Amino acid sequence: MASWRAEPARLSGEWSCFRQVSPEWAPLYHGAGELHPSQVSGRWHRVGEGYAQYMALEPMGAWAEQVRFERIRGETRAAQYTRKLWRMLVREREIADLSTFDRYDGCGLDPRTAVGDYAASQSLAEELLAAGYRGLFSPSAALVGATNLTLFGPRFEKELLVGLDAWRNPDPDQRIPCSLVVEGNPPRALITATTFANMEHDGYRGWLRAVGRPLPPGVP
Amino acid sequence: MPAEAPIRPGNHSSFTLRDGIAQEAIPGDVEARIEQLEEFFREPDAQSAPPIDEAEVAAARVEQRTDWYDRVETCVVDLSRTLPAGAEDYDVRKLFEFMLELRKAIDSDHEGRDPAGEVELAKMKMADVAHRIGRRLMHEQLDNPRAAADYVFAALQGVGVGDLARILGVSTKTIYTWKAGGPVARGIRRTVTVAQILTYIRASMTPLGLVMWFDAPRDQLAERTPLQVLDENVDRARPILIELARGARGQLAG
Repeated sequence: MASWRAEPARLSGEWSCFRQVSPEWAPLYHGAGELHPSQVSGRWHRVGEGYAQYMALEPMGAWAEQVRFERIRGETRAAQYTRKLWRMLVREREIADLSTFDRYDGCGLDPRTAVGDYAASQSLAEELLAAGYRGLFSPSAALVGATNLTLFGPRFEKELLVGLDAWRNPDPDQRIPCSLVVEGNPPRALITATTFANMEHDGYRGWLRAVGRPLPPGVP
Repeated sequence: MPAEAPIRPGNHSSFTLRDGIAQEAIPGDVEARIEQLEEFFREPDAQSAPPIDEAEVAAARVEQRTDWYDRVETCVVDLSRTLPAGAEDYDVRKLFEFMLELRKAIDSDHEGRDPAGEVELAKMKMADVAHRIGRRLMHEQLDNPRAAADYVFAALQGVGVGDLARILGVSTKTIYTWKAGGPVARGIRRTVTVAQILTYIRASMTPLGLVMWFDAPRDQLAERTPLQVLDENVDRARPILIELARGARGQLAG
């Protein structure tokens, strides 16, 4: 039985997204034929149990994930990184709309799941997958105000120099057109703007205040 | 019509198996086969002939792709023969499985246009497997301490002897000895572990960045630095730090 009181809305549509990866790897995560899926655990999947494509609706959202994951706290360190930032045009269906803390709450889900530790979000991902969802929107834990789109399962890229919108996707269930935006390092502004795992999440706390709920001790 | 980037399906690797590893430590035949396979998946499998006649053009495309497929098949068979477990190797079996998928996609595509993208998808899957075999072989080679030390020196080119000694947990004198070709007889497990870690992160940062990576406190390590974790116990640190380093591959919602 799912943990939600009301089912999250199921969205269909086309979204422009961003994702940053190491320059030596493909834009999307796939490991065809792997005995055990190799993708390291993330917010919406556990290592060995499958794949997830983590994307952000804003480029700064994508970079903030890098800053948070690597815990980059200074400009000198940020300047040592080289990442490829890709733009992707995702045409999808059955995407759970948990894009705001209100939407979590409206479904009877704890909004903390979006920004807290991974145990609750990984369990929720399992439930969403079992209920036929192909991914979800959720507030970014790394950058207040940004929104992430995560797709469950492997996807394969179609690299294009231009014309993402014009490419006729023969298999939207498996293929995503993408185009390189830049090869560089995280913008300096994010060193101070990123919410790190050991920090309170201003967006989440702002929401708690707005709806008159008590602020929990500790983070986020 | 969208312009296509040079396709390197499923494989953006810039490493080669010999990258920073002693020459004699590499099985040359295997490396050559994998690089050849990866090259096959980078090049377009069908190029347009001059448009004289639509049917002729299609026939030329199909013929060109059939030739290309034959070369892929030969390469896969050769690779399977050069690996110790041969066709029993799990990844080789997967390579054959996806090659069959590729063959079927090619056979059902009479005009050589791949309208459903099935040929391209099968190529990407094969590239994933070839890349994985390449990485596996590299990691096996890096279990050799001499190869591991050479790899670390190549990845951390320009880094001072003091930092190298800190990271590898040996004296500066030992670093000089190793750099001069002396035997890698101490700190073996740590040197191998550091080399394995570097394979995952070296493409993403400069040598200075790599040093900083070892020195930066991480949330995933309960505020400790990778170097502190290494100093505590190399064997316990190895899976933890490799997992952390593997996380650098691509965005994970934090």
